Amino acid sequence: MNEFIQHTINGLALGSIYALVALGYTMVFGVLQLINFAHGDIFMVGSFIGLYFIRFAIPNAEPSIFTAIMVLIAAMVGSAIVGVIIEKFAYRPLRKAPRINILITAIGVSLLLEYGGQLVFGASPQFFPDILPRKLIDIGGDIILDSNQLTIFVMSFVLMQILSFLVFKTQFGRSMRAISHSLETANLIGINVNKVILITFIIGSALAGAAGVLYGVAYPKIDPLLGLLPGLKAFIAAVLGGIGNITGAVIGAIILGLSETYVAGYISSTYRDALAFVILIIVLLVRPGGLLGSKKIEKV
Amino acid sequence: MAFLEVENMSLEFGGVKACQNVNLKLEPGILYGLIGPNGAGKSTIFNVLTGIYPPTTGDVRLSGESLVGKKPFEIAQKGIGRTFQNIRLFKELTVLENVMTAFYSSTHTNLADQIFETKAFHAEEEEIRVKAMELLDVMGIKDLADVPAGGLPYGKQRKLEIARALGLNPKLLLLDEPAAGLNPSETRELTNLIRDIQKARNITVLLIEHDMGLVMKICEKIYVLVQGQLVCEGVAEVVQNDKRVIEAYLGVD
Amino acid sequence: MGKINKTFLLFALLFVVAVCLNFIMGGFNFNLAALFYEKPGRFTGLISPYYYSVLILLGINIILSVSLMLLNGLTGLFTMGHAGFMAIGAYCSASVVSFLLPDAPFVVQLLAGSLSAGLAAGLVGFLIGTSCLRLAGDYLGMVTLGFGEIIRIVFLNIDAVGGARGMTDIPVYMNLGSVFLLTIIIILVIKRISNGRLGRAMLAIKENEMAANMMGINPLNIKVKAFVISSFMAGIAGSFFAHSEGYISTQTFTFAKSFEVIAMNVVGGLGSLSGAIMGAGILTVLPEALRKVQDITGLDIRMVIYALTMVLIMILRPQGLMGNREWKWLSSK
Repeated sequence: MNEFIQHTINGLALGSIYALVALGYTMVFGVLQLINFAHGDIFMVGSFIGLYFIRFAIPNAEPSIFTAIMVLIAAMVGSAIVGVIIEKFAYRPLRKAPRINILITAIGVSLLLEYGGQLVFGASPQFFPDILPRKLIDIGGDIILDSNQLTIFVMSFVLMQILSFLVFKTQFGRSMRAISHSLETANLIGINVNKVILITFIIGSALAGAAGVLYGVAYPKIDPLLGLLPGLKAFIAAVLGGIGNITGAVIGAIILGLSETYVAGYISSTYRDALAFVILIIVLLVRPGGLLGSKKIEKV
Repeated sequence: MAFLEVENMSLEFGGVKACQNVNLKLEPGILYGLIGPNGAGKSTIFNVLTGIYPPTTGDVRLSGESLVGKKPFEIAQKGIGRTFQNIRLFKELTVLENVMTAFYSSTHTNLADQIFETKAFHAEEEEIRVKAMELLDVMGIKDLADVPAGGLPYGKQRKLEIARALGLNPKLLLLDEPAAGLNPSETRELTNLIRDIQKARNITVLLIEHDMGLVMKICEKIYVLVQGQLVCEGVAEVVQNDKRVIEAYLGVD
Repeated sequence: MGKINKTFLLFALLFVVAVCLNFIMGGFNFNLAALFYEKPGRFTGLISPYYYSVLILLGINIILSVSLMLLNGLTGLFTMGHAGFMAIGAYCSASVVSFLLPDAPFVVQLLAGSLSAGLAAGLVGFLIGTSCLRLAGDYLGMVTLGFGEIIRIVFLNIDAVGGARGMTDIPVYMNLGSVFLLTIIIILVIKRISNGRLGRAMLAIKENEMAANMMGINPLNIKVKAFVISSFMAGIAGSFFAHSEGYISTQTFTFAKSFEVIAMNVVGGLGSLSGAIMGAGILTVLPEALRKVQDITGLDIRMVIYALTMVLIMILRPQGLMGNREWKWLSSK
């Protein structure tokens, strides 16, 4: 039982990182029907921006909540800029092209960020310094609560609250949801589609950047290929929840984080990565719209 | 027993009644018209006949055999060909290839024949090429055989769709607004063409059309559908003078 | 009759080219072994071992690309798990030949290896195909991505085929001559499939599934056929890969490989067989050609340029380099 609680705590922390990345996937899919494969790499870029910010801007900062928030903001701003550049130069020219072209472009951008990252940051892993005073709290019965996990959980929660305010309570959110119903109609009723898409990329990338920093906090060795697997898994989480659905992405991510941790803990860690894909296949075969998604019918 | 029977057919979409108790009896070799205001459910009847929507209740029988539960391609193979209100051609294929696809189920060369390009393969390809060209000739678009279908002008696309449906060698041909979007002279030409083909091949045709001139001129019997229900059937004069039909089209005051 | 003669001539020509290539490379050895199944013991300087392996990789990538084209370009089924089928072929063929027929003659090894690879991959393709083909568009892509990765992870966990270390000491019986010749044969097979009755049905389904239904074409049947043929050929590509390299590991068959093959299709022009070949050529040769740039600049800039080229082609020429066109020798008219 204690082991189970320990796994649950670890799973929730992992799940909340996935959730931040999955939100970006799902938002971009909502407005553009694009699986933005480069999103996982923006997550990686966020992690490195955080690292370099600590190294060069605040080299002598003591680990504290304040430091962490500064690093987080720097990574979010940096990632958002990268997101804007990608949307403006890679995706926008292809707005009217077949979807597979945009998908290939996304893959190309993903490779560009990975190899570009290796060029700029170097291929070997780097150590992500402590930005938070870390405490291991024994809450009885061999269950250890890492203060970092708590912070990750709280920070993700706060960011998601901000996002849900943006999406459900503001004019931008209404426009974004309108576009995800129909881009053409949204255009016709005078919504500035390009602007809304751009803001969607800013928000999605900023969240991914934040996730990158939190990932660095939890697993302090980062390298330019870091975004590959977590990116893919966050994408699967988004599909699990129902791609395009914001609440679904969070639920999917938490489920994935938990089940991965359980499988690694109780069965074998080598099959941990397969689990995500098994979940993906089962969801798509049984309920292609995901947990919260809806089914579409072709009109004749 | 009629050739095609629709018996008490109803179709509902989550409580919305698209068709209610529709009864049709089509005899072989006759040209029928199906008219009605927009949204009356005319295309829906076509979609039921071709197996796209299974009817909620009732039965559809072709030569006595029930079509309910059969897949669309199986129904097509049994000899029901159709065109679409919004044209659905294979745009990247050439005009000729579009018609040749219709021979898919009546040809038999297998993968090995195709890979080794055996004599049987060449003979069959040649055979359906000739047949397809004949159909294009009938529709008057033979000279466009090698043009991609997507590049045809609208009127010719309508004709190609009919040629393609004829490639199935159908016993029953369903035409969904074949004259929509055509100018008067094109409509006149197509009207005569449809009648000629129907007579020459002695097939049954059921035609949805808004152009009353066309319908009244060539249809031997007309069904009128209003809000998913058949309100009237008969020859042109009967339908033209039916009170319910006039009400449905002109409204009641 | 003219057509048969032309095909025959083409084959004869290709045969001569293959023979010449191997002749030049393998130190002017004129015997069957050197021409078709022995890896050259020494190289004549005209082509180095490095170029030799790039050329072999080119052949294998062309097979992968044209086989995916059958699914993606012709039938309109978007899949992202081609590397998985290649993995099945590679591991199956390597196991059959290494464990059962290590000392058999070349022809037996080639037949047993390629056929077992193709059949195993085709069977898995059939199973995956029948279970997922009701899914459309991106969803099919996602689910095949999942299957591809699961296949890879399963091989990663089988110790008999080397697990994470990879499988070594696989009999090498393919050389440039045989890879080249068989690649051409596979291209011709795909061309013939696409030009006949089946190819028309595939295109019809891609263009408008509803209308294809109304033509009496069973879409599920055609899609499964496309899936099986395509995975069969991807399996064969895997087999060729295993028996020309002599070493395989799951690292080769990640989803990155699947993406690479999709990129070959799209760069060349989706729906064009010539495009699939051209795309495979460009995406195989480009990263190798860029090694020179890397040598000059001293920067690891090779793959960055590769990725950038991919993005630029998509933006500047979204229909791909060939668009819908075909080279003359591959066109149906």
